Amino acid sequence: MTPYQPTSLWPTILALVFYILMAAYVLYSLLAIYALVKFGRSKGLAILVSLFYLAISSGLYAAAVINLNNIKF
Amino acid sequence: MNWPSFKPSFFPGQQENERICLVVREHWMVLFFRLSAWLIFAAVLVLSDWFIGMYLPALKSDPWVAWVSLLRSVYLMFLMLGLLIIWVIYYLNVQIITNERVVDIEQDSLLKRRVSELHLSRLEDVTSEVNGIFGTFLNYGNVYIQTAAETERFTFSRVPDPAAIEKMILDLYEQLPENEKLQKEPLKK
Repeated sequence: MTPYQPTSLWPTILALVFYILMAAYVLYSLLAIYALVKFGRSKGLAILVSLFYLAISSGLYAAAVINLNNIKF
Repeated sequence: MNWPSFKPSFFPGQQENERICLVVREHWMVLFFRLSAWLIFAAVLVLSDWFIGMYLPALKSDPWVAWVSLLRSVYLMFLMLGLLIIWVIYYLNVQIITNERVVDIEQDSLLKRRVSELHLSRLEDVTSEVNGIFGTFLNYGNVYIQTAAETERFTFSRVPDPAAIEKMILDLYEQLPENEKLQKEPLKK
């Protein structure tokens, strides 16, 4: 008889670390975008740069989540 | 609820009849140096790919390939964040010279912003300084503005053409009406 092994522990820890990193990423991104839009001279440029950054970030985040789900324990 | 106000003025406290004469940021070489530092971190991605291919080929097969891909994705995200922060800090660091005063907006980090201003009538001395190889060839350097207060000193760091900025500030001071200029003590014999 094989003892019970909690196989969900490591995926849980990995997901926790990953989403903590993502939370820090989102926080700093929002801070940068807020500072740019609030204090920047050209609001149009600030919004354009922000949208461009958000588009790139969304793509990278999607790729990171796919890579996270591909990890097998 | 207090929403952030997006005023049309360029800097806090701008008067309606105040004419902006010059808006200057740090020289592009400063941004170039910071981007070079960023590129070193970006090169880690390329080098790691080469290193894994040469010395750790096992990491290119299951189950490790998913781990490596995850690390690369997260690293790339933070690289993009670093690039955004470098540009935002460069863009928000700005010095403004108007026909009435000098405004120095320093964005040291995302959470540290300092706005200093000096009325031209309190001007005592303006000094420009160019040093170093890059500064000499690309003509950028510092402008120091001494105010009437003993300790206060404005610094425009690594701005392009500091001599022209110094001259502009002195010209604007000369254009002030005599009664607005600081009453300096006569030199003692």
